[in-house]
Amino acid sequence: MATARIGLGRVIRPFIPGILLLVLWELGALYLFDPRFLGQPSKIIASFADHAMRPRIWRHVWVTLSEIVVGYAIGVVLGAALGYLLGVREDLARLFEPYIIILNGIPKVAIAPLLIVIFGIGMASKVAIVASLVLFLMFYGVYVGIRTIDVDFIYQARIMGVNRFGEIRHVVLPAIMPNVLVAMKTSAVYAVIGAIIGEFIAAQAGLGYFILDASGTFNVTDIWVGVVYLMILLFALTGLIGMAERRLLRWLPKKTIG
Amino acid sequence: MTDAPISIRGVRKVFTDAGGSPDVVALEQIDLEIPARSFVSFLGPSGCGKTTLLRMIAGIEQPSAGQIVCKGHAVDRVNTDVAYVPQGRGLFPWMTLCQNIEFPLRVRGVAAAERAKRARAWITKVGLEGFEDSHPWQLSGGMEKRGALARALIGDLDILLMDEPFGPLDAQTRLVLQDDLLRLWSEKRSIAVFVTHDLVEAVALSDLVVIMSRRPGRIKKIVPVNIPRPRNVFEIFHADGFNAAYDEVRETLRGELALVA
Repeated sequence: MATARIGLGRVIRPFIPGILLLVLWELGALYLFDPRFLGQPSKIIASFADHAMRPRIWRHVWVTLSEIVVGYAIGVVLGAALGYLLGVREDLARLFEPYIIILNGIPKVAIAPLLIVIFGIGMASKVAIVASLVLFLMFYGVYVGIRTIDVDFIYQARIMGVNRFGEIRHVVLPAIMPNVLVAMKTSAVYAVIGAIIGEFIAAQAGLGYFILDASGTFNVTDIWVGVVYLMILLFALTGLIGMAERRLLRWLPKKTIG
Repeated sequence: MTDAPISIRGVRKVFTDAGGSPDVVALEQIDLEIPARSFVSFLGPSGCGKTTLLRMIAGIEQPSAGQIVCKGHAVDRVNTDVAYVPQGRGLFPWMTLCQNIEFPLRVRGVAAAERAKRARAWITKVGLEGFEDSHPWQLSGGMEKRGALARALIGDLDILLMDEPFGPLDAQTRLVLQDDLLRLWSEKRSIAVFVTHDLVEAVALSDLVVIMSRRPGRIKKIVPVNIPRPRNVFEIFHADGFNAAYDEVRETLRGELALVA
């Protein structure tokens, strides 16, 4: 009996601060401030559920999700390939690193309008914005990972007679995996930001478009609904990466500074 | 010309720094024949180039002049005829103990079932049963070194190179591991080349102690150790021939250490 209560408490406890915040917000909206500006949780939840029943919002979710997934995939693959290449070829790194620093220094948000001019107001331009954000984060994750590998591990494997492919698979990849996964998690957040900014600038669909549309009609509740759907998207993405992380990084010491 | 399995001929090693610091001559005029079935230690003060010499036999570093011949071939790339126990961390942290020990066989394409069988046998030999699926961070320093030893020996190679393998361990664990090493090594008596800065360890384990001078490292003296085998490292101080070898090594080394300290 006692253990069951402790188990239930464990499940509920993380939700308590959040629920408390929503209750305070609701009370504030009722008695303290004008909910037309800040929104009201009960209305947001009702509208969220209402939207979930109808296909309109799912079309927007689908568009944004596609932009994020495709752009993210392109950015991850290109960034990782570039990071690997420059990581193992010091001559190429010396040649290209200054250009990468300059390109990385360009605020991607600032060139988003340019990408929309180039790729149009459809999904392609958002894919490009997302990919341009993810690419550099991935590049640095893989590049730094390769540059900081303990070379003795590589030598050990080579003395055992490992070939080039085996070396990458059994030594290089696992050794850089912590850096790669941090870069993948960080860039998932940036991917969502990139897609929304693209949709804010010019779009015909997507959650960013939905939020902008709601703000155009001063529909604060629907702005919040769009944000909640976005957060669900982001949590699903980071959750997937977190699962991969738990599987791939089982070997890391479970220690904390405390 | 000799037919010693490892022959080091006129080797010199200079480290050049691209940043413009002066060149460092690590090793100078090293000539050494390492006979079959022998246990050889490189002993000397830190910075004498003993690790560099071992790494050159492993083919990780290349000599600036001279040549190292291993089993009839000049070592001009990574030497896959040797097993190597590195300084510091012994195992790949991302593999379990069992995966680590199996790895040399996996690289050679040995079938999974056979690999697992041989790895299990070695895990038993080094006393690590029950830790097959542990990752290195879950093992103590001594256990990790045992795993590294098993991984080096599983390939059944004729040459075993060890770079201060027991350096960071406490005195008790060191003794136990030295004893394990001698027991496992004597089963096959492949060549063992052992780098250490511990005088007693060098004498207790070796047939030959190669004493090196401080930088630039040269071979100062090669002291044969005539303690009969099998040896008991726990009572090595009482063994026949220990005192004579110990005194000779200490005398030779004294000048070097005094200059450094």
